[in-house]
Amino acid sequence: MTPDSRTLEAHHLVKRFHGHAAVSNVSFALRPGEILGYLGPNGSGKSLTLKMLTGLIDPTEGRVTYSGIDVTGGNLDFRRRFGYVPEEPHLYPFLSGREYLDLVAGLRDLPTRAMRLRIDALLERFGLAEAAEQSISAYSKGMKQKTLLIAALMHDPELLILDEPESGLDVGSILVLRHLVRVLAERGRAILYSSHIVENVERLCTRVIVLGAGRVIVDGSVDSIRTIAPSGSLEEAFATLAAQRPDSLASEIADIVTNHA
Amino acid sequence: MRRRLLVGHFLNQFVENDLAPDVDRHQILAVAAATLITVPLFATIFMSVKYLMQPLQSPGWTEITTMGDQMIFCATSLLVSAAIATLEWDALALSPRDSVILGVLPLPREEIVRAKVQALVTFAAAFVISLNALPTLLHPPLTVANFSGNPLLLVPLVLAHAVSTGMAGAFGFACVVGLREVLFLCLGERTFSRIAGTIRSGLLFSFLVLLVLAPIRLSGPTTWMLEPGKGPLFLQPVSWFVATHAVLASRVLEILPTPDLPERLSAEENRLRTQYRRGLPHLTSLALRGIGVFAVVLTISISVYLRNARRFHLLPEGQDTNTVLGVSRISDAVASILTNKPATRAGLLFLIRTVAGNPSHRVYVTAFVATGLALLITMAPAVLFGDQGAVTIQKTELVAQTLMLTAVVSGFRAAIRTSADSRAAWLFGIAETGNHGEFRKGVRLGVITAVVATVLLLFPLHAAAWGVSIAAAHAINGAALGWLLVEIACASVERPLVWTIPPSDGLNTVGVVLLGATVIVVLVLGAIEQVALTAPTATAAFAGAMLLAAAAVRYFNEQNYRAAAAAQG
Repeated sequence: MTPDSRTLEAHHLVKRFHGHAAVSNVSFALRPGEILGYLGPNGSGKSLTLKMLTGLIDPTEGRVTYSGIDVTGGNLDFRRRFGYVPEEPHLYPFLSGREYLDLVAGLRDLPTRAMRLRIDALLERFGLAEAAEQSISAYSKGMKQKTLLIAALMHDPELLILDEPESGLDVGSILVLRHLVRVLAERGRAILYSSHIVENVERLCTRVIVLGAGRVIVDGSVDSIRTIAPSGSLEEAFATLAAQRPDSLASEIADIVTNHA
Repeated sequence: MRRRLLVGHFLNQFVENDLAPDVDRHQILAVAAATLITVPLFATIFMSVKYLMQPLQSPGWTEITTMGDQMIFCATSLLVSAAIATLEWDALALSPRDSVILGVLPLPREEIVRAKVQALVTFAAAFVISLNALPTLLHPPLTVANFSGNPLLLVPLVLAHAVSTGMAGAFGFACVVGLREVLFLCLGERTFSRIAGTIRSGLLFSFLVLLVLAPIRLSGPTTWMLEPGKGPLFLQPVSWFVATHAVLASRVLEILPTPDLPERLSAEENRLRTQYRRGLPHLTSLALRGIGVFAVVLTISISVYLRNARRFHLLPEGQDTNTVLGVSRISDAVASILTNKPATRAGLLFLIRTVAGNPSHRVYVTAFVATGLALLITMAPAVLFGDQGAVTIQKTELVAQTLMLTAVVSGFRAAIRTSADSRAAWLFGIAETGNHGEFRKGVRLGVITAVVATVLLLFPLHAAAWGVSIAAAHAINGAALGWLLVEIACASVERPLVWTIPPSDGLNTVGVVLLGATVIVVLVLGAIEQVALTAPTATAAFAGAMLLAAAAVRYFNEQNYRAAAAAQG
């Protein structure tokens, strides 16, 4: 397998629940070194698409390929190659941070001694070294997110699938995450970055897909999407594409809050 | 290596049950483990005393008597194992959390499922063995201690006990696993996830009621098992395993020497032996039926389990319980009748919705109410069970309502002393506008409503047994006593459902004393009420005294809260 062939492709993915299509005909390709932003309002099907890519959910129609091989529904070799940070901080609360990472490393069959050193180093760099022996149930949301990031990174994956990775992180950690994603992309890793935060996507991503009601509304470079808004801002372009009127909606909410009648 | 890691991890999930609050999880587990060992030990010794006290113990009497004991051992093993499987409901199959964490790792799904099944079987076996180990080693030798003979004959008796109680326990566990998986298959993931919490509570409630009733209701003669078509239907599963024991143990019991008995005892012994020998073919057929049903349950459970595990499931269970049961609407209606103060209403609604929707709170209330109901069934007025000769009101019949109310209040007490979610408790900090007294009042109002509802539900039964006037007087006394219990239960709970108050360190040692003291107080109250019911003025005095005591407890509680608030500035 040559480095250039390591492309993740979604082919016409569809997911239906009781006849209702939550994701419709989503197709895209993600190449090594690329940071693909995946934007969309709540309930647009972002997380569902990522779950189909990771094999957690089977698509109703369509398929997922990696390096040209069909990996729909999960393929062991494919799972060795990606790291995934889920939207919800799914962790075992009765384990400590280190125990959780040891468990994931063990289940990934990673060499114990080398992995211990790597986990220690990552815990240190993510500022979790002191809390490593604490039960995860006592962790803040940011600490849980950092634990998930370490678990997704520790096996040096070719592909990173990040579902709102900045959730709960402080400003400093978000900055580190941004730089990290950029450095990893420069080193040839492919990154799928799903987020609500347009600013992060704008600063990081080379390409952006905007999803609305389960469909791809637009797929292009950040600059090309900016042209949709008269002001040239990606945030405004996103609101236009998602058919949102943030200013009038905000006024309506303020009216409800301040109206005591 | 990976398999061992996974099995160890899944076993850990059984121990680290989400139902036990984080604060005192290990203390609760230690108490549970100690109870698992000591209660069967004391029960076995208590049940074996009758053999040791029998100077002229004969084989026929021993055969029939051990059947009665086995009925209790097998029923307990079956029900406790089923209750534990219900408590471990979420850990029985791969959870949505397992799916998200393990589903993206390079592990074949089959390996994860195999490890889960291995952990499940290991946990069930370890639990059933721990529960039955001491009775298995102690009961058979004590039942034949009066007979001299080859000590090796004890081996088949011990094996018979181990097989019958072990099969009963495994059957109870497998039934719950099978039921869960069959419901999942038939209802689909979405519907199952909505009603799983309700099913779980219902099962736990039923098992606990039966478990408390088992030693009381099953201690009678079991000779009905020796004849086809006799005996209550609900005892059939237990009778299969008792029959298995009887068939295996009869080889030894039949060859025990008969002592020289007086004529009357000798005739009785002959009658019992003949009855037992005649019943042996029926016992054999019962035992075979048990083995057959056990095999069917096991096959269905395993095959459906493996079928359901063919794909990962991502929907959390029991999230919509309040909607499913219509709790939101009912609680809204109750709250609008009882109060219109926002903070009081918030407390009342929060109590109802937490108890209905939060798994650990639901378990606390379910467990206590189930125990109370079982005691109520045992002590209910004899006339309700067709004993027309019972004309006078017995003290135990009056005590039944008090015990039921104590159980209800104790369940709510355990619930309100546990945080609904410690991570969400910040809400009460920022919403504090000096109205926590009103919030507490709302919670207390909720518990009092439960007490009054219990009294009203019991009223028709008491009216049928004793007539409307006495039943009404008993209901008034019950409501007054219930209010006192609520005030005592709510004492020192400054932030009900917000902060977790761990049990005091001394509770494990003084718990038995407290239980004994409660029994004595309840009996004394029963005796006083028996006198009070003889005249309306006496009833009014009794109820008045209870209300006065409740008001006093409440006054002192509020004084303490005010003093604490003043100290905090």
